[in-house]
Amino acid sequence: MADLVTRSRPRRLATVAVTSVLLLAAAAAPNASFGAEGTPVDLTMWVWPGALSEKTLEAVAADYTDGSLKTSVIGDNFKTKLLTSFTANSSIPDITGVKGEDMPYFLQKPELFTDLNTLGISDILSEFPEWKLKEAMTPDGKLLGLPIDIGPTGLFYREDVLAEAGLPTDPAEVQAATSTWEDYFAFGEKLKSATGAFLQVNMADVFSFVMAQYPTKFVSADGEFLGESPEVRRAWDLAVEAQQRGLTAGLQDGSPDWASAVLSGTLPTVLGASWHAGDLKSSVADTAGKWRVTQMPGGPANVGGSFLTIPAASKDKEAAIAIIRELLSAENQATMFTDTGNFPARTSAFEEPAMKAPDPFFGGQDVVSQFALASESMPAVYNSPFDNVVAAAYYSELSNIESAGKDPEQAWRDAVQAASEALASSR
Amino acid sequence: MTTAVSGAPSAGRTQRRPRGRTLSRRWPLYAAIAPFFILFSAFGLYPTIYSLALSFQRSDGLTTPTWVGLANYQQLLGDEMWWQAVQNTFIIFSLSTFPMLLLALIIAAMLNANVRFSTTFRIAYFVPNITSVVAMAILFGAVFGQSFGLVNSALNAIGLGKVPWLNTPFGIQLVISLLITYQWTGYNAIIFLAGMQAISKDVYEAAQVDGAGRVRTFLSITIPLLRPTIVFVMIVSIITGLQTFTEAQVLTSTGATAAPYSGGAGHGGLTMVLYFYQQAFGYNKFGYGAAIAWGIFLIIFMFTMLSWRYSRRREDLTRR
Repeated sequence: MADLVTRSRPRRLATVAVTSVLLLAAAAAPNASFGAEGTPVDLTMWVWPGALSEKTLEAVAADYTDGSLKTSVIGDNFKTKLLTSFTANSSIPDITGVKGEDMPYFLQKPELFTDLNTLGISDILSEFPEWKLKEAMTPDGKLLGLPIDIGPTGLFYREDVLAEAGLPTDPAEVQAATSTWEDYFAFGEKLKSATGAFLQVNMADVFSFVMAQYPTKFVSADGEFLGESPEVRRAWDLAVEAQQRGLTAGLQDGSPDWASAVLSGTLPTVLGASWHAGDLKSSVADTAGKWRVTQMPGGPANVGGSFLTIPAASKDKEAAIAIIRELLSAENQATMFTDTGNFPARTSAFEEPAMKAPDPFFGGQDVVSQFALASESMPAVYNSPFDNVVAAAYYSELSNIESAGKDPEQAWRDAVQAASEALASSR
Repeated sequence: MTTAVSGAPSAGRTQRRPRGRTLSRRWPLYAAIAPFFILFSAFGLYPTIYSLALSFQRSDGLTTPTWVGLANYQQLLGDEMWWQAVQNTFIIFSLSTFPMLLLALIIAAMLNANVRFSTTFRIAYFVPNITSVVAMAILFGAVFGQSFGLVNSALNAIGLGKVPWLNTPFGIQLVISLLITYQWTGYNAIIFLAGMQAISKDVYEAAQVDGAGRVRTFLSITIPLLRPTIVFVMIVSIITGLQTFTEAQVLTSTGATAAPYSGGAGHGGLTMVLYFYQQAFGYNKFGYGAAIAWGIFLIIFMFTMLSWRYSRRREDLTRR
């Protein structure tokens, strides 16, 4: 008993310890040798849970007959595990998913991956949005991954609550009434005075979605600090304005409080990427049928969406690209949408019958065309590998305004200073 | 070490036995202890040394690292966020450890008295310790929710206002402390109980003869004789308490839009280890992360030595 007890204690750090050890202790090991002509090549593929439809994964594995295709579904810390295999130069998968937010990081070392342009994919490239392909492209034009899904944003709203407030409820009318952030805030004030409901979950939410609309973020492609740019300043000002006009609920996004507020109708408007529909369906299932989607105020943005890549160490790149082609076929992309809620990156998938099915959660609204429309006018953006570390300073100061009543101007100055220091110490 | 093992038993007869023969005779002993040392070298010693080397480098884990000397440590000393994390950790540690040990002592004393179903009680108190921390943290997050949490509903029912538990820095620290207390009180109580059961019944009987009451017996006999156990529990609590991570991470994990692993409102839940995790695995600053890890090590080491020496001195005094 005592032994069991003492052993269970360090478990709180086990995850950190194990990943650190794997990462740090990674010793160089020789690569598996290439399969000779005609002999079966066994391939491995790494994805995370919910990246692709399981049905599709099984069907594609069954179709690969030149050897076996082993798919590992890796839970948390996907990036760390992939990095560990690269560092150790051992057990590198032949095909691997890379999450959209991790792409800027891996783009720093493109030689770890295969330039997919060299594998004859020009025939299907036009079916993927250019802005999404750019996220996986090096400055000299190497394409490291094909997009699995995209995350065009929209404004999700509760039709019943808006009707109660005497506001428009039809997606086209709501869009007309909320086409700019200023209009959206005015809309929110009407909503609040009629029902007491909030427009936005918190200040960070406003800040992040305004930032997502801009082609530049916190660091330029040349590594220049953009934390004082008019774009960042405007996102900041809008977040402050939303709070000062009493439109933010000040809740933690995705927390039980958030779910309660959304369920009870005190937070009837939610900005989010297409995949956010899945979060709504799982956390506030009781509100099914009352939701609608329209375009986001101020224009579309993309949040998330991942890629399939072929590491340079892959044993058989031709076989790997054939598998990726099948995984990303229009039909399988539609299956992915049905099974996981991920929005297909491949535009030809929009024509599939599965995509046309009305969604009862959204009262039968044609949700797909809303997001497809957002994707069409999406700006191409530059994401720096240092964006997160720089952005943290702004979120931290926004939370100081929200939870401690800090003066917004002082908070802005502190954020800019902390952000530029964070960038300087990261390079 | 070789001399210590080979020298002792054969010292009388042949003092200078050739080394090779000793080794060949004693190899089963070395083989028996080898697995631990091999595993320890690979998974304990090597990463430790590597992380020390890493702390002198700037490394994003992907591109070639550069040697920066003491720059990471210099940065650490001037890093306000790090000192805030240190402060948070100590606040959470104090809020959790002292009430927890006091509670554990009382529970242990009650379990040590001849109560019925004592095994059932022991199991009941121990169950939180073997429950998943993540599951408990999610549950606590719901219980302490601002608008619809169980605690606030109860406060509301008796006419008190709603407390924004997880939306203020101190509220977060309090909830994390409560979670830790809930999780570890039973564990510590079981250890205290084991220590109490090792105390001879004769001493208690003598106290009874002298007319000491229950409280007096507890304060004058149980506590002093339990001192080694208390010191052990204290040191283990320091080492684990200062490494609080999972509770803070799960309770303050935010949606995809905000900064990852930042410890919630006002960074209230940003503990030292969470800050390490944020820098190393959130922002890929592995060199700086390694420096933070060594900073954490130094703080825990100093604090442990301090409390150990303090308790030793007290022990010597009582013996004199």
